[in-house]
Amino acid sequence: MFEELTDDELILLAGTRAEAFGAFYRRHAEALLRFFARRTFDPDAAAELTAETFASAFVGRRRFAPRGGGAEAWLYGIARHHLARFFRKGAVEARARQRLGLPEQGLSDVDYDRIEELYDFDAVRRAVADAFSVLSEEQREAVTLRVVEGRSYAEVAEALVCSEQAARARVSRGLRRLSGLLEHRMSELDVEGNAK
Amino acid sequence: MKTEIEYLRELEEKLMEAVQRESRPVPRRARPSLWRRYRIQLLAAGTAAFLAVAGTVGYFVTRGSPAVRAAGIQPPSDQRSHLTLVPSVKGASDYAANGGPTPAPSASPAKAGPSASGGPVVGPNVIKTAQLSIRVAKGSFGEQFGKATEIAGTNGGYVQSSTIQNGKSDTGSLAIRVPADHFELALAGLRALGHVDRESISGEDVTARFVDLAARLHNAKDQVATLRRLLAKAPTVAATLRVNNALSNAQLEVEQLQGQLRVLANRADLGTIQLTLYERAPAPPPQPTANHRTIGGAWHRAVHGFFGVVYSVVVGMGYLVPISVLVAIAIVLVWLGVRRARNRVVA
Repeated sequence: MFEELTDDELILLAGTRAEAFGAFYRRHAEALLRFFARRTFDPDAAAELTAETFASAFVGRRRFAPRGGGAEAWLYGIARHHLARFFRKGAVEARARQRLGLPEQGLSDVDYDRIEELYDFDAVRRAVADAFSVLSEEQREAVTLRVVEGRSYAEVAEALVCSEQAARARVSRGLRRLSGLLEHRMSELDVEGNAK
Repeated sequence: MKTEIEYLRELEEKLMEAVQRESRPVPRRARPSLWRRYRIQLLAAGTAAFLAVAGTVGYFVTRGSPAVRAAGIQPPSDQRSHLTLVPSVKGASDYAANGGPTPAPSASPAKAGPSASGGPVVGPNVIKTAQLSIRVAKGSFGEQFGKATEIAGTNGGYVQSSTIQNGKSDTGSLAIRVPADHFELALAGLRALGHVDRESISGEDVTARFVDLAARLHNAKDQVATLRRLLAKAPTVAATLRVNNALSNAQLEVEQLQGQLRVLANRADLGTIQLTLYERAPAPPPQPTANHRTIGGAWHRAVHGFFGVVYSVVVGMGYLVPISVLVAIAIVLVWLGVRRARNRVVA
């Protein structure tokens, strides 16, 4: 019966009906796991972030208001918040899971492989290549020397025949542009993956 | 969702267990009342508020009292029973209504004198004294001072001494003697000169001393008469000398007693009024300068201030405690009524 309800209705019902939250989980769990997997490229972190995001969503279900993008956008807002904290701190928070008393669970080897499949490396590779091709020649060279080959800024500057400051600026601008392009492309891939 | 990822299936199970656990209705614990949570703070705040209100009430109630003016450490002034500090202008109005002094009925004390049986007859004798501090209208000091002198004369008295001090505000004092039977009339006239700031009247009954002196004088005179008769009959020179010595002593005693009686009669006949006239309230007595702007002075003032506050609080509590008890009784009665009505509704 819950399968016919909208996300907003499920979250509103989750205040009194646990099954409604279960339906909401089943509807979004794999997509959310893919979302985290493609951004962290770390199956353990992606699994933990998924668990923490759903735990946070349940804890804060009474704060949900059906406006804006609806319950799905609300869920992904929580997800982005946890993702940002993960990138900032290098670890996944466990506050909501501890509050709900969710035990820690590890990934089996099979799950590990399946989550890696969610990356869809071909698509990611194509996205990265496409994004790289959009960069200017100077930025592409600078990013390749600094990020792919791991050279120092002095060496990058020497190779590009420019000042060290100019080399830093090119790497910085290239990465920022790459990040924007990939984020946009990753969202498209998420949508395509969910559609499948 | 039919996922192939075991982790997500396990997570769903554990999540649903936790969700079921969380969704289970938990008997809501009654939230402790405001009183239970902040009992100590509320008690402290209530006590502080009560003391503050008591202090305020005490301050306003005792604002004009000498005790508070002296920072609350002085006991109420040491008034003697005969002192009247509350000014009364009734006499003044009577005086004004009568248009001035009028002859009083014979109220003068009877003089000591021999009675028909030869004993002294003495009426009531009272030495009357009064002290008046009168504030006169601005610019009228000279006129009122003259009127005071005039009142002394019209009542058969006189001004014994007077001083005038001219300064920012004119001040003067007079010692007025008026016959005892015109004492009250003179006082009434003087009260009409301005606003009576302070008045004290005292009377000393000297009737017993009059009787005593009169009796002693009577005996001394009898003794003189006897000694004179003996002197006339003295048989020898030696006897004449002895009687003459005794007669001299007796006559001296008679004169002394007559002098004392005259003084006493004079004091009883003429009342004394010490009058102080000034144009505005006299400046407060200068504070001792030794403690001015010193640590000792500050400490002195702090102690005075402390006792002043305590004094005000205690006085205010005298007013507030009975009122609080009545209010508390009213609150309890209202509460009981409300509870009974609620129980009736519930039933």
